[in-house]
Amino acid sequence: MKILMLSERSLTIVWNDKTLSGDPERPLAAAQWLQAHPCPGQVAVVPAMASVTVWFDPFILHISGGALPPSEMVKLWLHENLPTQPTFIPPDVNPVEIGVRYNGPDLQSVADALGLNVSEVIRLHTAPLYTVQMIGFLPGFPYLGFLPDALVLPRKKTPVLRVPPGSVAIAGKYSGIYPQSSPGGWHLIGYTSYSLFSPEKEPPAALQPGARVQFFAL
Amino acid sequence: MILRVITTGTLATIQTPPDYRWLHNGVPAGGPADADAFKKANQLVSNPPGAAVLETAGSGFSAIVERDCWLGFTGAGGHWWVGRSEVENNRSYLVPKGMMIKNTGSSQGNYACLSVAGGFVPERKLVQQGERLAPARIVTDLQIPFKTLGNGLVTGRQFVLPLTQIHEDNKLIIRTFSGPEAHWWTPWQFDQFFSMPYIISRQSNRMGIRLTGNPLPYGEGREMLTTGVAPGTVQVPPDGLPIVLMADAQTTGGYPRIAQVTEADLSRLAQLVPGTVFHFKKISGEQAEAALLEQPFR
Repeated sequence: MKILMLSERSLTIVWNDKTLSGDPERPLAAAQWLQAHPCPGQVAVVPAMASVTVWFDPFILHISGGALPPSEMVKLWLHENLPTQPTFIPPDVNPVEIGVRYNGPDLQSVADALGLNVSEVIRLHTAPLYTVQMIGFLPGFPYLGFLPDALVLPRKKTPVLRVPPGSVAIAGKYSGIYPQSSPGGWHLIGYTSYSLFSPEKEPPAALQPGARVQFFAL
Repeated sequence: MILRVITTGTLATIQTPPDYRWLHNGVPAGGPADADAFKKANQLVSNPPGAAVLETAGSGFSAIVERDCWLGFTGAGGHWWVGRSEVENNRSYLVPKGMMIKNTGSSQGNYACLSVAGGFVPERKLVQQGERLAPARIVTDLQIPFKTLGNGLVTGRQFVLPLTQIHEDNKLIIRTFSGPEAHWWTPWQFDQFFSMPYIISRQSNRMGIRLTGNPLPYGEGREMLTTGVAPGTVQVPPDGLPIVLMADAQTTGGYPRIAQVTEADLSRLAQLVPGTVFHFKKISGEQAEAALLEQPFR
């Protein structure tokens, strides 16, 4: 793994393709480990597709009187403490079941692009037990991993200007749900009324990294 | 209550320092666009660091003061009036109940900060027209040495020094260090990024600053996986024109990161008005950290 400086308050831990193809949940597992074993001065851990960004308060580290700059202190701590192969511990609750009306505007074009019929797309989408690998792009937008290979499609070349909230979508190896309306480039295959984001709650995202999700057709 | 908002102008928000708690839920840490002006606004009215401040973007904010109170005015985007009197930036004023304050905006900057002794209620939010803003604490015993001006306004004797832009060789510079995907560009292109001028475009706001100038195309077909980003991250989308992410930017992004603006210069960058020409100046990550840590603790 490599550790790169992102900003004066954050370092990004990156793994290479070879490591991740054998262990695609590595970023999530590392993020989970860091939440449980925070580095000195840690303020946030943000998992992403092939990396984890660790945020820290440099002023706390600076005041502690170390000889190294804060980012070097954290880098050293991560090299010495973060397990090379952290184990992801699934949550001790039943998976969240999310009902989907499979009538999204891109459902047919997705089926055509993949050489499948619509009911096969639905069957393939509802089959896996997904895990939220990361949240990003929009507040509460979950990146659910992983789609079966038969459903993998690149994002659209031209995003649409407005994706309605509740849209259930796919792109690459992930399925996602748009919590708010936004421009978007993922393929829209359905809709859900499941509420993903409540700003007044703590935590505000209904599905946290590591949560497990099952889709079913309404 | 302390202020009744008459017009919000381009944008008015209540800001508190960045909050990193929900970054992993996709919620940006946010915070003032001009963190330096924010800090100084609180100093002017003896608030604890981090007290909530009203930030305006552009021009046109106006409000009626509902109780005598000490107000602080900072930020290059401010041209403030109390009643019919122009007031100076970087000072505090004891504003009597019933006076109207307004910001007619400035060509020198985008954002202004308005602080009140006791702070606003620290709920980070968009301010609405007609809204009445409350103070977090009523402050009745503030001891600010003051003087009375010819126009009858009472101003605090203390003033703060505003942040100024940095010029080198007659060029306005913003200090920046290498980003995680810097190697996606050729050394020649990377040098270009630091030697060619860039211009702040009108498509700029609290989420990000779009630039026009020398495009920096990179190899087609290189897949960029979504990764974490930070305020100050310089991303390059397929059209090659850099975008600098700011306080309200998304927490993750899918464009390669050529560079990172040093936090010490983000307040300077935020205040550059559309049409301003500047250059990125290359520094090291270590220098960036040192510049940040040199600033008084906040």
